[in-house]
Amino acid sequence: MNHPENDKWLDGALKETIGPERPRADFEQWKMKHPEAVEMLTSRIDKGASASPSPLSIRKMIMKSPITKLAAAAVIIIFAGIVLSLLGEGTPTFAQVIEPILNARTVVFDLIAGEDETGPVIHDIIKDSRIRRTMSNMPSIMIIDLDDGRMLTLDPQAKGAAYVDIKGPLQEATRSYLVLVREIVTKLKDHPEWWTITELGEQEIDGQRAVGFHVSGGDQQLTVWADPRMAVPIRIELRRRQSVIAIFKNIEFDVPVDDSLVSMDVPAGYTLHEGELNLSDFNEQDFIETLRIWAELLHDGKFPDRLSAEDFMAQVPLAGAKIDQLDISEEQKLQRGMQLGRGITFFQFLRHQNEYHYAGKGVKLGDAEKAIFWYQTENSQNWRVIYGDLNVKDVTPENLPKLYDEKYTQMTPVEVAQAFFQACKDENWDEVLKLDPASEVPQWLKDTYGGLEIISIGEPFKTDEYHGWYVPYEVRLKSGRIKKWNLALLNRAKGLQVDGGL
Amino acid sequence: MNLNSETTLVEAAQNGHLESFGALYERYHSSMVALAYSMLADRYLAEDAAQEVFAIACRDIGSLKSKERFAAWLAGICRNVSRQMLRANKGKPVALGDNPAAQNRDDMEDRREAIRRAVWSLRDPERELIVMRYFDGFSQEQISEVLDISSQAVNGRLVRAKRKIAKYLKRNGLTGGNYEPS
Repeated sequence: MNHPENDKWLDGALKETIGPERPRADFEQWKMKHPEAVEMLTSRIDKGASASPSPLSIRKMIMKSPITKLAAAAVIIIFAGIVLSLLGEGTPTFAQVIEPILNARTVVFDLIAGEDETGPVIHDIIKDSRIRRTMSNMPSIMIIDLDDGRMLTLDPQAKGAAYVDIKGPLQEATRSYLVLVREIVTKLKDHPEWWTITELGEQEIDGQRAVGFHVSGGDQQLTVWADPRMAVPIRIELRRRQSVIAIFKNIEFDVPVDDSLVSMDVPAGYTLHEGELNLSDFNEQDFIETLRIWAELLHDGKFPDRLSAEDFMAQVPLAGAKIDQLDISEEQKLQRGMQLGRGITFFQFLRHQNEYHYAGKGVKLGDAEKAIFWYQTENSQNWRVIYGDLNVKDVTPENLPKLYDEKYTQMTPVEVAQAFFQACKDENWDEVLKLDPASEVPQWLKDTYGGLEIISIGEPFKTDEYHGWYVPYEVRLKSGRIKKWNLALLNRAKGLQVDGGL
Repeated sequence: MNLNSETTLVEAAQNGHLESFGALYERYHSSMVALAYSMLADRYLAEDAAQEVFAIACRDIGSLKSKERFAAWLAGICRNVSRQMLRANKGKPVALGDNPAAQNRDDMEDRREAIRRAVWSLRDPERELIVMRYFDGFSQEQISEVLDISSQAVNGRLVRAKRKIAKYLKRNGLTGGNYEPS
């Protein structure tokens, strides 16, 4: 019997017709448009009123949380900065729009880490080496002084203020986005031969007419939408392979920025927390405590399904609120909040510098048998393995938890390249996934590389800039085009994995 | 969904904690736009309706007794707001057939219009469900929570609604064979 409702075309047609674009939830904007409603809700604090009696912990959270909020805010802001540092290696743009990027003294923009435009939005006002940063999912304000490695965090609701030390690697990682973009543009100018620029024509972007350019080089891509009259970018999307890393929106160059907006002085009426908070000195123990907080307070005693930048960023405010509800002293809450921040920072640095693996999905906090996280330490062949009870052991590579088929973990660079292109030739995408860290094979890869013919695989080599392997290859694509390039391979827990060069 | 965390957020919001209300806003904004869209058939009106829904919720959250039914309570407000907007627009969903660009539309737009008509020919409960499912890909659990019906009911209603849409489209000469996604 035919079930028309099961037809895939109908699913596709309905989705295309009904849901072409996700609505954006912007609570900050909503608050601005509905001050009376906000006033009515917040006035309930003073009245102490609710439909039913509230637990003491909730009252406590509302009345006594400025410092923990400041700490949580500091965490997010720092975290947001690190998210962008992974752009690292150059990305491009083009002559018509690069001048303001290179020369502007002030820049204002909204930034979204990842591709979910309904997620938290970072709003930056940059003037020289100072940044004023706010986020859509919290009311706090951050003033960052990149020269001094110091940050002033302000809570406008509780009128609290605190200085945070971000010196050291964190200071370097929390670069101005403007600096980052300028570096990218400079690389494009210096090496135009590395990039391919495609004109995208004119479209309506973020409510205004814009002319677009797509720039790709290696596995990095940049899409820039610019005001056609003024030739200034209004939206920039950065991608690595097929993943969106960041979206800059509502960009304005050289707008007047009053010095008071980026002042490191505590504003009148704010109470300064004594002593400086410290996010700069993070270590493994901080990360372990972060895992504990995440499992205990946010996941009912189990470790989360995954550890990701986006999840941390979205859930830190809730974690901060949960810490506030604990029956511990204010000082202890503050320390736990800061530890949470340092733990996330540790993870962020680990993510970009070391090989690691997370296997905590479904594991209960306290389970001493199951390894939930392991990472390779610098200057050692051994790995640090964290178990479900949060104990840590040094483990040699051969004794690491066996999650993957040894056929793949023991492959040489040439074998991986050979196997990868053979799988593409056979259009065996399941096999491709065993050699690629992606969760699914993107359509462009299938379209471009499916059915290829291998001409040659060369001798692998290394460079100072990249800590993986390059394997030269020459293939004939189904289109007839011959591609000669270097496949980038990175050593991961499941063996050497394709990291770029396609 | 973590019910405990949601009831905690609702309770905190009832006590004037704006960030908690913000978290609820972030969680349900999209589903309220979808629900309003199912009644108004106009994306921009639906977004306006959702803004108003949260303004009312923000003012009245103290009156909510069953904290665990926040989503269903919000949906009730949303239906009321949407009805008021429909009345203000003389009772007619504005997106169907009133589009001035319709005279110049191409075949693809014709097909989309046929699908829209099929969806808006459904009864309210089925239309709500279809729009929520395809507007933003809400899961059965999320739909169940907002529409306050069981997951099984969501599933059954979805199948029936899709069957009706397919029949409507077939009658109008649109089948999988001649539909080409853009």
